[in-house]
Amino acid sequence: MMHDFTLRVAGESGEGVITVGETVARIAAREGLQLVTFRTFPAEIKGGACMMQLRLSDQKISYHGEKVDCLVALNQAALDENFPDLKEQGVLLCEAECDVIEDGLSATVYKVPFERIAVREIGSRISKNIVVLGVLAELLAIPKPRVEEFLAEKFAKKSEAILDHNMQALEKGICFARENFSKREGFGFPPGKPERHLLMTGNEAIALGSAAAGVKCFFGYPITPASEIMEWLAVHLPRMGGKVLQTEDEISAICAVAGASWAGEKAMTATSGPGVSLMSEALGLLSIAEIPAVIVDSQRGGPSTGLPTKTEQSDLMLAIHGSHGDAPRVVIAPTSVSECITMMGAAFYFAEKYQMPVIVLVDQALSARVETVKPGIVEEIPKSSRLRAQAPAEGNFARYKLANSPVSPAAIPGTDGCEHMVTGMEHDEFGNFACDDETHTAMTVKRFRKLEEIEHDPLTQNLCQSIGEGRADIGVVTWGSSAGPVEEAIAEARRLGISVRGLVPKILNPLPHAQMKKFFSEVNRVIVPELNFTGQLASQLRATYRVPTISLTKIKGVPLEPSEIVAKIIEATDGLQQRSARRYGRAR
Amino acid sequence: MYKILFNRHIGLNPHSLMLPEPVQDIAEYGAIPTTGLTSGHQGCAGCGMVSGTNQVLRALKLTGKHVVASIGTGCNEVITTQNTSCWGDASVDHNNFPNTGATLSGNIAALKALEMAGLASADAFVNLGMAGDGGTYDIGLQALLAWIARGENGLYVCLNNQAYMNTGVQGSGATPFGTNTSTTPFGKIVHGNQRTPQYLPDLALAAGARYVATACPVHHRDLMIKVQKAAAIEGPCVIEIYSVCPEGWKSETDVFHEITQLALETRAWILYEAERDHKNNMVLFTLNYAPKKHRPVSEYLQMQERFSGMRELAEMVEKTQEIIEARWSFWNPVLAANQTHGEERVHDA
Repeated sequence: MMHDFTLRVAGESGEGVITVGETVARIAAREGLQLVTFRTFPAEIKGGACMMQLRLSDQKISYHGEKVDCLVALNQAALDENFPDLKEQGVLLCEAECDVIEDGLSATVYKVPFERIAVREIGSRISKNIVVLGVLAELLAIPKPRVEEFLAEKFAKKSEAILDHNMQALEKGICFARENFSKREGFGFPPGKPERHLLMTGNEAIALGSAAAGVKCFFGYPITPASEIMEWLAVHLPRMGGKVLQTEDEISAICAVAGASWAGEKAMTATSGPGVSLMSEALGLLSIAEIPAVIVDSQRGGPSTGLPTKTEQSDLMLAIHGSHGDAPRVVIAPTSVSECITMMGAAFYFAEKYQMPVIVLVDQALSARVETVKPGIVEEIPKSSRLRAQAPAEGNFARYKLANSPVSPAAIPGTDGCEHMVTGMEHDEFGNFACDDETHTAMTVKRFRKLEEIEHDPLTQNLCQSIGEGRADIGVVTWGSSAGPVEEAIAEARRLGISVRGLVPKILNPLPHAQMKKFFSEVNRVIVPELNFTGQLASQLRATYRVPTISLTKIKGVPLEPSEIVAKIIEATDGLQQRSARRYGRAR
Repeated sequence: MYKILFNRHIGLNPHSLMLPEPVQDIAEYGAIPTTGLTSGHQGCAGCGMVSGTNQVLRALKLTGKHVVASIGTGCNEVITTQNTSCWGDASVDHNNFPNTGATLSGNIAALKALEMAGLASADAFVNLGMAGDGGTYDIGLQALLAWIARGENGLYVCLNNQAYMNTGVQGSGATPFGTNTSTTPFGKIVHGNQRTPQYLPDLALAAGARYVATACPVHHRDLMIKVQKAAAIEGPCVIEIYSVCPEGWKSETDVFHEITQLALETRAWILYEAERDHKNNMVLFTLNYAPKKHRPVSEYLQMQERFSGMRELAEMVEKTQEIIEARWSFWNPVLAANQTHGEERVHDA
């Protein structure tokens, strides 16, 4: 029995590629398997190449897999594009009319007339994807009743005729495979009563995590790849006593967040890089006015409209530094769908406790990725609350009181005795405009001291994942969705006998300094893989820790692959060996 | 404020207060040489926007001027920028989402500077701006109204498909009441979009536009007359084009004409134009299409699944009908005049 299997379905958008992938994913999740998926989107509204890849395993996995065990190609273009990623001993299922050069090919090739079966035998071209599903069910030994059960639920609201059509298509697919295939992949589902997993995308997880963290007001503006967060909340938040408002642009969205938050509710927005660019001025306002706010940035290829449907991690500098003046904010970056849930709790925790903006950096790949999540995960979300002010016994309420703690008690507007003014101008303790050097210095120090406190917050200590312990030749530091491939690459490099370990800071501003410094003192060379051109985390590390780094950057619109990282690790090791060899030579 | 005058004549109107000659009325738009958007675009089957843009470009061809197009992010930008041949011999600048209006101002400033340097004649160019309803009613509204207020030459075309379609059908400021979109879902508590849309011609006139019009590609003669007028009239002109979207309206791809005709006959979409006479502080309104029989809006709601929830609720259908009647009542004077005075024009240029 094979318990780590990667499947890719490729075709044209609208052909049902995603339905096939999602069906296999949902059945697998019900059977207790872990899975991570990856899918591409065409920039076109309809049509254009798309694919969905699923990796299924009975172990914890954090990456969608590099080479695939089984490739389903629904047309020639999909075959040509994806064939190089098929494993040597893999199985190719393709539309019968596709040209495949089989000479010298070690993969098993099955040409299946998917379209002909759908059109001639079922009488409906759109059933093609269900025929594909039938063929796959037989090949992968997915028990037929489980697929039928799923289809019955999926088409429950449709007419019986539609369900019947689909059941027939499934049967035809299974029969074709039974009669024509000699090989079976033998991917069996684990026996016994499985623990069912939840299955959701990163965007759904962000929305769910926010709701569980107690968000009451969401303001947003449509933008790929973040729109699903608003769409999920538009459906569910009203039932939880919350409000979702679509504004006319991102500037309004974040300013509405500022208003709602000042009025005392947990408020957030979600957008992509172009939206954060527009929000930059307001980030400064939230910072100087000390208003809690959560901003999700699902990064895509930039700059400007850039690559709207492709992934990139190129907004790190924007997240940390975007906005004029010295405007501190917290930046955190989950690495998996499960963390998208828990770290939305962390975002509200930091925002409310320290009264400042918190940016959550994810990317298109993580937003769209479907992953298994254990039930009950919302229980792990940290609780958050704002320090509430009491009306002063005498005198005016000092909203920005300079005291030992940089966090001043806040009051809901309209609280008797706590009347106050918040402002984007530099201000004194009471909110009065003051541009003298002493006030500006004291207030700037106050705002930046929050970052120091956050660095020592107990929650921050959990926001840094170490892969391996102790001294190592090579250290790999990465962030966000690149953590999955890095984890796999480190495991592979260790199998090759290389001394390597990794560190994934999930809070990027402030960085978890103690853990970072310890790590740098224990490794000889630092590789920083990330999905941008300039090596944004690497330059941040060089500036902060004066540590030399080797950047591994990629801007191809797709996630890093473990093999690329392993190659870089080997390259760096060679350098080390040569250096020690030279040293050895000189000593002799 | 301005005085409102009505043109008694209902129908095609190639005349203008500002132009000495009527513009051309082209019965067969295919007779004009191809200028783009005939092939190579990525539009969905049944998209009204492709047809609309094609007609705009053909009508501008009649002006003999070079088209400088500034296009805002949106469906039209996505489907026409993967292949430069889409725009024929026009020069195209895809700018950001919020600033189509601002780019029009930039173009004018540059053309004027070139003219002063003796390098070009501003008259040789049509300054064309194009954006969707999201880029016009929402994020681009500030730039658009500011451009109109500056009184600069140009033609702004809004391709209105009544939601953000290329990002997955999210509601916009132009989304009709009761529509089911991904951000205004039709549910048990909230029944789709609760807002009534704004009207672009109203906003543009208030900001000082010289000429505003609504159009639809099914009535191509009307559309192309309006585009020629807008290109010829001095000052900011705005045309809003009804753009059928099978993907977002959840309609069949082959009922483009039927949906448009129903929109006109139920008066969910009104074809009209308005010209401003600054000297006399008046605006002349012309109704370009008045259906003989007013069909109930429920018929319009039938062909589009985006209305599948609200059309089952009598009070929502009723409110939609009320919105239509209220807007249509604006035309009462000209409708009354036509009953008594036939086809005679109230105001003659």
